[in-house]
Amino acid sequence: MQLKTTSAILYLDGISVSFDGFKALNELSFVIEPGEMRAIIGPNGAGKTTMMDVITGKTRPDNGEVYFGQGAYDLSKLDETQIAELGIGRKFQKPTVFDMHTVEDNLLLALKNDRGVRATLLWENSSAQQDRINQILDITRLGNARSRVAGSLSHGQKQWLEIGMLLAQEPKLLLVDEPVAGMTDAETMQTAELLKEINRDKTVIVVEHDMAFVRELGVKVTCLHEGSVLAEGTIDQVSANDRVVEVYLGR
Amino acid sequence: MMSGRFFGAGSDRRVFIMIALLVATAIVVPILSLALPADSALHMPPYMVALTGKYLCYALLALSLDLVWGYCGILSLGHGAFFALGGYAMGMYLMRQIGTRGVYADPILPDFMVFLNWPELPIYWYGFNHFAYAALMIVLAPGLLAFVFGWFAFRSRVTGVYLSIITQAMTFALMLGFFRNNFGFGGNNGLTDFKDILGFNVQAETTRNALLVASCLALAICFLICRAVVTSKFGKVLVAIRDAESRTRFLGYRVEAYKLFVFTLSACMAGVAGALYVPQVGIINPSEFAPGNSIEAVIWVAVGGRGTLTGAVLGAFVVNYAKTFFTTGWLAPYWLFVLGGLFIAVTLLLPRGIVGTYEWWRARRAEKQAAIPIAADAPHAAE
Amino acid sequence: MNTQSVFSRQAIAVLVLLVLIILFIQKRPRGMFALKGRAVEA
Repeated sequence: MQLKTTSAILYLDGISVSFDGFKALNELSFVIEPGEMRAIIGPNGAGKTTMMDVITGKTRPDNGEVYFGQGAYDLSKLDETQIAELGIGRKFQKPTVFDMHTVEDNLLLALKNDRGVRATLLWENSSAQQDRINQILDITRLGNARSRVAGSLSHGQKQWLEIGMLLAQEPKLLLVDEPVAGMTDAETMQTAELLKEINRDKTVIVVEHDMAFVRELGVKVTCLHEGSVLAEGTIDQVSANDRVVEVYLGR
Repeated sequence: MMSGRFFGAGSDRRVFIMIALLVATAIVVPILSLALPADSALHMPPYMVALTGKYLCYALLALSLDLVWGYCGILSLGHGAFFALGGYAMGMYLMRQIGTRGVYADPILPDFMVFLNWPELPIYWYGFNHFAYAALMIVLAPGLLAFVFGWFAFRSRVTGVYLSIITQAMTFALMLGFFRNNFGFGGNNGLTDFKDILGFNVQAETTRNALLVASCLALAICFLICRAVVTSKFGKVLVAIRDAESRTRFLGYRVEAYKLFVFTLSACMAGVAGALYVPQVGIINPSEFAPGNSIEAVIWVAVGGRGTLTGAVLGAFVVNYAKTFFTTGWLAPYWLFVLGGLFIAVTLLLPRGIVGTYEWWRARRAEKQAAIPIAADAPHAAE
Repeated sequence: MNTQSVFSRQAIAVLVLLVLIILFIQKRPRGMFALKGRAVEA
């Protein structure tokens, strides 16, 4: 059953992606073990979002290998829906909640459930599902906004709703792209706490620019530059690297 | 900003009004047409019964289009093809019913086949002398076309303008095919001169009324089906697909399956609309496949308000009534100007359509009402 | 010889063309020169 022998929940090796001659990812190799949390940093255009696109099936890699679940699934052969069903959930750079639906409906749609046509046609609410939604509303502090249309939420609230939707999916691996962009300092710290909480039983990859936030997470950091890994280690080790400073932190 | 749902199948009140109006029509029209003497002021002449029936069929077509366009964002510019296919299926049944009463008095072959010197009935005409078979084909022919077409199109992720283009191509191709005399569907003359349906004289006033009632019934049933679909969780997924398709995919939903389901369901409804239309207008010909017809259907939905269901029905009635009004008498040359003007006016002034704008206005008013008590306390009212 | 045959050859040609367009768009859903990357929202 196993396509690749590895203990890693996510295994990328030599991934390259080009768009019209521009090399977005250049022989990128990246490994993360189950239960780990990793922070990915890097300047704009370093390939962070493209990497997530490859993992979630939006972009096919030109070469390289990408496996999920201790080598059980070859992600380059699957599409977005299949990969989502495998248990990889993604939070996007810009909040992409469903603006036209209420907060509650957003969570309802995200809730781990039969996604088939028949199931949704015949779906009826149950107390178990309602409880789960209430639980997530509590965690994301959106309880009193539940009937509001998501498009009317503040930016920070939308970010939290999206994290809530991610939680509702009950993924095994969370890909969180710039969760604290546009948040206040207080909200940023709360988000760090939330992610650490989530990390207790799920693997999390966080992409961020906010160094205070990354420091607060206190996890291993991978710095990307021009489509491949530039440095990896603790935040102090990586910040001390001259090349990293030159390319990214110095700005 | 807005709170609560501002999309949806409309308030229960509006749904109730619509169903009530349909029931009323189904009762009042036959009374006015059959029970009153011909010289009474309120008597409804046969042509008006047929006209109302025709509008009801158009309304059903508009409804089916609103389901895929208003709720799933699939701008089909070829729904007239499904309408026409249903119409042809009914037409074929009606042709078989003519029997020896046709010009050439052939018990099996329709007149046009005798004229073309065809020795026998083609295989695809078999079975159409039975109403049950014809009824099946009315739903199956458009449904199957929609399923196959949609299966390939949605799987290849054709969306937006490109999808609209290929739906136009589809209906255009079908039109060209059906125009050909050797296609076996009556060529450019189409199928006409119907005698009876299910044993009843197609032209009799009683039959006309029965067809009208059937049209009311079909519209009401399909409306309730659409409403059930749209207010279910399935409906929420549809709207999510409409406004954020990629995101819905990332959430794990098989978007192609959802689109295929509504597209096929919609095509079946359009087929039924076409089937009820044909005996009421007395003819079906290839110009029903014309790309322009499909575009007109879109205008009906846009005028009424897409994504509201009741809007589609209203739009169909409003625009077609205007068309009838403008194409009779001295106003006839100006109809196309009116249609064009209507299209521009709706796009600029009423982008949400009639029902949509009404809904929006009501929601805004409700917002303002809710905001007033707070504003009364605070010196500065927040917007 | 007759106008029907001239007209119908034209009609067949258009029909074939339409079918080819449908098949082409299936193959290339975003047209011949598709934009890729972040610029194009799915």
